[in-house]
Formats: sequence, structure tokens, C-alpha cells
Amino acid sequence: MAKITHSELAPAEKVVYTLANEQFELTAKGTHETDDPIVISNAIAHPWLEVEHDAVEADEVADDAARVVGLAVEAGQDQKEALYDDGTPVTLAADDEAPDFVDEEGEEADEPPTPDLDPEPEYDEERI
Amino acid sequence: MAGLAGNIGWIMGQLQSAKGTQATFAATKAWKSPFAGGDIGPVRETDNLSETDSSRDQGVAYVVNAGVEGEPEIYTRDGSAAFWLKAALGSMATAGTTDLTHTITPGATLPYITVWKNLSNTLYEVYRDCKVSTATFSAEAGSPLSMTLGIQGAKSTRLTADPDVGSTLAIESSVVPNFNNVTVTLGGGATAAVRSFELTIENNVQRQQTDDVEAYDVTEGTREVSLGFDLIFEDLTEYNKFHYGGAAGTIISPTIFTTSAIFDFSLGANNGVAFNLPSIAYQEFPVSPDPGGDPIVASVRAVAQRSGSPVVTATVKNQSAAARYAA
Repeated sequence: MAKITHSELAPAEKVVYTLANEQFELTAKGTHETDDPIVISNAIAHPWLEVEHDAVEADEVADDAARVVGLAVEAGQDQKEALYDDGTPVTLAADDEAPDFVDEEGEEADEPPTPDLDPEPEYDEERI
Repeated sequence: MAGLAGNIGWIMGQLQSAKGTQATFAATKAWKSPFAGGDIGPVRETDNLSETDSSRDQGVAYVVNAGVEGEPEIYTRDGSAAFWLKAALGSMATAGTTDLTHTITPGATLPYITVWKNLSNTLYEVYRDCKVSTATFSAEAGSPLSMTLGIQGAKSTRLTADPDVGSTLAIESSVVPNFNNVTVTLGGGATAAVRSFELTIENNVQRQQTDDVEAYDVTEGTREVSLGFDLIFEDLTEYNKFHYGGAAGTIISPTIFTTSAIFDFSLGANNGVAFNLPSIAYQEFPVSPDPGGDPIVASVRAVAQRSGSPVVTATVKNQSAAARYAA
């Protein structure tokens, strides 16, 4: 929504405006409200008119408590870690809840032993 | 059957409320004008299939697209002039009660209009979703002010009867301003050395075709406003401004010289049409010898500069209320 009012260049008397396909009256201190983008764009171009748009709250786009503000850059902090604006690190839910290793039944388990990829050859001394 | 006279007819325009909504004829809102030249009508572009055959004959024809085009010419009367100027520029501000002043300025968007045509009381057509692509206002010494309207439209329909049954709206017939009625002001000073006028408002409207033979929309592009006039060459002032950067200049100027121009066609205090261009740049200022001995006349061409805000303002004075120009 936008408010259309007279600029300083407009005459003091009542004026009827026909902007594109819409017509409306405006007195010296009157306002005309519209959300028609065609009327608004023509009003912006008109020397006798001023257009005031409704303000948009910046915080409407995100919740304050969960707003990510970027990577930590302060000394001593992990430069690759994203932080919320209260300083807590951004983590995924899976990071907190999912165990690193599970057994065959899906239960949390210890890290399995690392397989020996280069084992010592076993010789049959007797055959040698 | 008998032939039909070509000088019976009219063109009529009325504002639409929106794209796609054809105006319902209303004698209180439409403007019916006689043709002074030109025409408007449906157009169809055709082509031929390009393929081989067992013969050398060309491929069969097909329709590429259809729409409405035309450049009707009408005399500039103060009633309909406000309507057509508003259609060509976009915005109009009306002040006054009995005697009204319509100030028409360029807008970001042009209005959709519906146009009707009557030819010899036999052919009636209505053209929907039209926009004025070009409007040229011209006059020369002793002649009336006329306008040529380049119109682009999306849809054409033939009507089986007169849309204005009973002729409730008369064909406009008021006095036409003549170049003898003009007052010219160049660079803030009145001059009587101008003997012609041609103002062109070019909106570069294009028809946009999608999935139908008829256009989906008509859309305006870059606006170009240019001015031409013939100036009797009697001193070097304007010539110097164009070539040498100032009235007393002697060295070629590397910069554009801008000035202002007002052409006021007045039919008294309460009727007339005026054009105000606050900033124009000369593009041509030819001054040439004539072996035949004719007086030297410079056919000046200039373009409106957008540093002038707005680039052009038209002021029409008449007795037609704003409601006459509503959708």
C-alpha cells in the first residue's frame, strides 16, 4: 500500500488525476491510498505528486532468537563455524542426536577396530 | 449494390478500466472524431511453409499473427486532444470547474484504450487493448493543427451494427487551432520567426504474441520526444547556440547546448493546446544557400532531454470535465 499526496509543485485547488487507467481526486492536503503498481509508478513520475510507501519491519523476515549472523571472526574462535547472534554455534539436529557408530541392531556402539591393510605375511617355517 | 463514399466515417476512443476489459461505449466518456487522413484496422501477417515438393511451387500459406495497427490522422480539437494526449503520455491532472485545464505529463505506463471505427456506415469494428505508440502533432504557417496517431492493438472484432446506436455522441466539430493562433517561445523569449511545428511522442509500443494468433499484450518501450520547426534565418543566435555553444560563441562546442521551447496554440483564455519542452537539444540546424534565391529557412530538429522534468508537458484548456476522460 502507498499513500499519494500533493507535492509542493501542485496547485492549491482540487485536482482530478487520471493515471494510466485509474482516476481519483486529490485536495490540497488530501491523500489517496492504492496498491495498484501501475498507478504508483505513474504517480512517482508525476511532478505534482509524492508517494509514500508503507514501512516494512526488517525483523519480520526472521526470528531474532534463531537468526544466523555469519561466521565467527573474533580472535580465538573457529573461523569456519557459523554462529547465531547470541554466540552459540550453528549445529544440525543430527549432530546432537545421532551416534557416530551403531551396531547391527542400530544401537550405539564403540568405534570398530581399524582393519590392518598391510598384514605381516605368515610363513610356514617348517615348509621353508 | 452500389459503391460507398469514402468520406463518411469516424474514429472513436474511450479509456478501458484495465487490460482485457473492452470499454462499454458511453457517450459521456468516448471521443468521436472525423478522419483527416490515414486509417486503422486489423492486420494479419502471413508466411509460406518452406519445404520441398514434387513440383517447384512454393509452400502453402499460413497466418503468423494478427492484431490492430494504423495511423489515423485527425485535427487537434481541444476536447479529444486531451484524450489522445493522455493516451500518448500516460497521466493527466485536471483542475477547474466550468473552464478546465488538463495538464498531461509522461507516465511510466500508458493506458489501455478501446477504439471503434465506422467506415461509410457499413463497416463497424472495435479494437480492444490498444495503446498509442506514436503521436505526431504538426502544423505550418496558415494550416490547422493536426495529429497523427500510431496505434497498436491486440484484438479486433467486426460489429454488425453501429456501437453508438442513434448517434448519441456527435462527431467532434469544434474550432481547430491554426498555426496563426500560436505563440512560440524559444529559450524563454518569444519569437515570431518560426513557421512550422512538429512534435513527435514515440512510445515504441510492441505487440507481444504468445500462444494465439492474436497478441497477448501491447507494451510500451523507450519514450522518445522530438521537436522539429522551420525557423526563418534572420540572425545567428540559435545557429551559434547549436554549433558554437552560445549566442556569441565562435569556437565549436564539445558539449550539447540545451534550451527550452513552448508552442501555445490558443483559442482565447479558456480554450487551446500548448506544448512545453523545458529542455531540448538541437540535433540539426541546417543553413544552406539557395541558387533560386529563396529566403533561408533552417529546418531545426531537436530532441527532448530527460533533464527536463517532465520531458514534455501538454496543457489543454476546454470545458470538458475530468469524468469525460475516465474509464
